[in-house]
Amino acid sequence: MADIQIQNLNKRYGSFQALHDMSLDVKDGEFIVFVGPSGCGKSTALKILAGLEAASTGSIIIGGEDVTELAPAKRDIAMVFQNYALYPHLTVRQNIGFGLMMRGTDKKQINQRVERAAQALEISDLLERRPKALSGGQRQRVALGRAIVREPQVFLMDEPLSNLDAALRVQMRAEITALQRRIGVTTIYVTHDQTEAMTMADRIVIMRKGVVQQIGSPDALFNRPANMFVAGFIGSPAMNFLRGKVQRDDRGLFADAGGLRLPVVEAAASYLGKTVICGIRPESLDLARGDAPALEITPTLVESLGTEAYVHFKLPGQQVATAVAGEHEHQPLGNGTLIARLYDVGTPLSGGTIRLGLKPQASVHLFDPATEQAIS
Amino acid sequence: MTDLTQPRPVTAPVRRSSGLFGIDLASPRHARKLGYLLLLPAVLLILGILVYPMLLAIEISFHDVKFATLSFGASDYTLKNYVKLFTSSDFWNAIGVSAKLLVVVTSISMLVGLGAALLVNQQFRGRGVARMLIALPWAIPEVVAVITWLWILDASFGVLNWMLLKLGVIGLPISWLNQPLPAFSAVTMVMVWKGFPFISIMILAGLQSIPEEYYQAARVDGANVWKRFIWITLPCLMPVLGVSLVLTVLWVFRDFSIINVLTGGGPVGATETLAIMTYEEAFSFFRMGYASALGVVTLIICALISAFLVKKTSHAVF
Repeated sequence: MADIQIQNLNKRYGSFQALHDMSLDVKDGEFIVFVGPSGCGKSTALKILAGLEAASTGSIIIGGEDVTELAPAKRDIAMVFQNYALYPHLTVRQNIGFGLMMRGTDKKQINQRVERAAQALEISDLLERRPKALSGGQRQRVALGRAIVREPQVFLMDEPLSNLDAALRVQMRAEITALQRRIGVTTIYVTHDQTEAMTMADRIVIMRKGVVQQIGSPDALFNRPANMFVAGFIGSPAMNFLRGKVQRDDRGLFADAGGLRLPVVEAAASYLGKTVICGIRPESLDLARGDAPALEITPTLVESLGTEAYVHFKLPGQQVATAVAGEHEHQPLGNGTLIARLYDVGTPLSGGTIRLGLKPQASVHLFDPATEQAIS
Repeated sequence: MTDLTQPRPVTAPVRRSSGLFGIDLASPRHARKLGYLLLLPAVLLILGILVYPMLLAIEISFHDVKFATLSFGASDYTLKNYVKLFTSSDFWNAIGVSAKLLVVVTSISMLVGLGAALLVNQQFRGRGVARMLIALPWAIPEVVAVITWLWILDASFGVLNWMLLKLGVIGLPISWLNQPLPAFSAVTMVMVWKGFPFISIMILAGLQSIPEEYYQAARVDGANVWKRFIWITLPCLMPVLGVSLVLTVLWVFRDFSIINVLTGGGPVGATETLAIMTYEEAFSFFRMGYASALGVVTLIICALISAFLVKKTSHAVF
């Protein structure tokens, strides 16, 4: 177990800069998630941490020791790969014990430790099988076993759940989190899935195009996103962005977004009379009551999930299309839609017009249209 | 999901074909028939040019036939050919030469092939050219290549003797093709030269199918280059190595043109394999029955070797 300091890490491939000046302090026992769309540099950062790639500049300190120039084997880390990297010709027992064997641990001790790890992961009865005879979830456990058996200072995990089906992913997510809490090893976990990041991390490092966008707890990222990218990436369905003009009346500062009166923070006073981008989460919208100011919309699509419904709608001229960020970052679509997530709607929403208002306690996030940074 | 605004697009109706003789071969009920129909020409061809001659050869081997004429079936069935075969010292010599060649050529080819594949699997400038150069001997027709080798190996004017003399390895020119051991070495050398590119190409394909993560995981686990080769590269290559081994063994066993052009089986039978001996019996001495018996024995040995190797190497396939 150890703390990690990443200092001004840069990585260039020719003229392409994969990682820009990344710095991060990880506390002992912390669970850190690097998240971002593909090509954001998260896997590169992890590989540099593992020693599989050399850093162009910058340094990495694990447990007080500068490991920047050390070979992977000398960093006392264990890594879990997306495709598990289990050797097909070795049994589960040999796979888990591989690292110990390579380090010349004696056979008796390898066996003891392999069995202890297998017990912890409930795969004791699979030890004599080969990876081919295992299900995806079992392979995942074996890969974890190979990591924990060495009792390293740091776990590095590179999208370990992305090859599993949705249901198993939820289960393994919880198991990995519980395992990490139990053994308390500092862990760095890479994923493109914001749900994984939100549910597992102590702190999230959200990246885009090699640049760290924001570092913070899941709640901090959700409630106080630093810019439009973070706001759009964290949360599902993604945040809606509308153009609004900052105005002041006797009830205070507000943004007028197509008939919707959005109360805004006092910091936006400098934008008085100007247009800003207002971020509203889908769950902040609700059916408007009475004659309160509201958005008059015509749903283009209603997705009902039983207790909730996603109402898709468009506000041409008003809405701001952003890059769709999931595993892959796409260019903004001209015909992107806005979504309201409505609970317990009751009567089915028909094709007619509906009126959407802001929930009483909902917050509105404001962004500068030029820099896309949060106004706060 | 209720789509509220998009109208349904109009699509053209699916065209239906009445198929062959009114049978739609694409329908699930008739899909098998289509398969057999497509296989038929190949099956007929194999029956005509492979199975029939083979049966004919087995038949001939049980008759005392000199020239193969249409009347060979008139004579009685006899085991004479086989008796003569198993008591002939030439036959046992050919078996010995074939076995020796098999072991030496196969093992050297596999080693050289593996080495070359590992080499051109590395990242370096000019890798594409290197890969092409390695494949080159395989692409040259056997007879053309062997005639070139004849010049290289020539006792008086050959470049090989010249080089060895210049380097001081030998004091006098070696008569490569007229002495037993040099002749055998020359045949081995040419066969390895001709045979290793194929193995290299197979192994290179195998190497490229090993996921990079295996090596990364091993590096994190503390395995050095040698351990990574022993624990990952070799085991992951086993299926490819097995197939290459079977194909190479069969190739060495049945190859005819290299030896025939290079030494013709000589000197004094030092390079006379079963294939060469069969050819000589059939087309130099016109002892068709005897040659057929040789062919049948060769066939059985080949079948046994490949069955054994396939069984052995298939264990390595996980």
